[in-house]
Amino acid sequence: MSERGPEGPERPEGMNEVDSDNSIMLRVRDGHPEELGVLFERHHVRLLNFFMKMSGDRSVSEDLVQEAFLRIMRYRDSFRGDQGEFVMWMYRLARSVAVDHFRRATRWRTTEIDDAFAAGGPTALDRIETDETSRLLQESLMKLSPDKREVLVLHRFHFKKFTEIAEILDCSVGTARTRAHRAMKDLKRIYVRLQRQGA
Amino acid sequence: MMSCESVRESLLEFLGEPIDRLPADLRAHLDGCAGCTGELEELRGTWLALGQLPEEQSSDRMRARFHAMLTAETASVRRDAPASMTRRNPGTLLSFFTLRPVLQAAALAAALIIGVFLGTAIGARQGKQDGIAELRDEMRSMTHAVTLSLLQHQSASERLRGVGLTETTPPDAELIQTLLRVVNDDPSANVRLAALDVLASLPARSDVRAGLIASLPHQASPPVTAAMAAVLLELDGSEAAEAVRHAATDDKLPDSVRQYLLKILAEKSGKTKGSGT
Repeated sequence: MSERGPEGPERPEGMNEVDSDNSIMLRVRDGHPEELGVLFERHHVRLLNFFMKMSGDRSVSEDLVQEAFLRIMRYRDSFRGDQGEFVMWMYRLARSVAVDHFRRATRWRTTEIDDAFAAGGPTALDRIETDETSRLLQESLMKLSPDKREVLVLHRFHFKKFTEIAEILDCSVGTARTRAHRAMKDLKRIYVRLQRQGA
Repeated sequence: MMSCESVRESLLEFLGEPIDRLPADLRAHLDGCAGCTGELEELRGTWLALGQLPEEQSSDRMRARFHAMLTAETASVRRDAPASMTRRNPGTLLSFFTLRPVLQAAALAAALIIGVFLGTAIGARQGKQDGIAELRDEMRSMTHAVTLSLLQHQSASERLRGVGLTETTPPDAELIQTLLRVVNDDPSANVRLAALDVLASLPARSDVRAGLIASLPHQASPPVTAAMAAVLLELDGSEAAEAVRHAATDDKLPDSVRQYLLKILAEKSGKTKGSGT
């Protein structure tokens, strides 16, 4: 089970990806913004999947990836290579992008539109071409509260340890673990309910 | 001795591992606790099922958008570099300010409001109403400039804010055309929906109705098509209903959207008949 996305351009011999990410981000920060392209190639697919699991919408997820990389560029001065790895910093920014999105979405009614469709048939999730189980699972994921969904997505799909999740979400390890446990239980309950409704 | 509650939460760390890889104290607890063993099976089932969800892949469009943003940002950094000579100090108020276009816009608006206020005060004293009107015009045109600038921004969030600002601007023909361009061309469905919301608040304008009728067949996002059809039917007119009816026959749209369009057409038709009797 690899947690790494597609590899970017070659890195200097003897340098692992974490060191390499950090040194590239430091160069972006220190006047070489064009090198952000290397980090985009390495990490944008995993961010796309993070946002996809959070929003359930491909088009929105692409927007949010773009937004996340724009924030990385805009906030590059706040990156400190000596305070942890680039990926953790990137997830913290991505998470703030997702939080802002959900705050806005209530205003711009994309959710309402999706709900309207739910009454008459499949939702915008149709675009995910999966079998019935996957569709029900994705729908169940969308019905979790955002705080439970994000901890589950980080743990299950991004293979983050609870110490890392706690750092990304700025909470205690115990809180992250408890929230993940509740998320798993809720997900199962929602899934079974949707399955029964479908049957 | 571990409690059942702490065991159940700890199990989450090991759902992807075979049972013999679990720490000895967890295994010892599971050996003597049917409840926690059942919980482990349940959690593991959910964990494995989640693994069936598909992985999204990148697209050329994503890369193109990113590189357009990177080119613009790099050019901006290069442009700013000679002025500052050195890297910005992240702790300064100036760097905080320059990172945020909305703060710049807010500062500009605040400066103009103060200007208008001072102008009003001075004008009242000096009786120079012409000067106040001039300041008001200037403020309007500056707000307009800020709005247009935000709508060109690389960030969808900033463009959403730009659309939000248009709600405070008197709707002239240029603004309508700008919003219609957003509805037609913006890469973000959310921004297009936001612009549509603003246009929907201007039902009396024939250019809004004509622009949306022209835009409907070209929308790529089903939620935007659905929202636009609903707006058009609200704006009324047989031409709008015809455009929606035509969209409902588009086989590129998901069935759910086509059904939705037919449903709102039927509702509209029912209302029209009801009001006619």
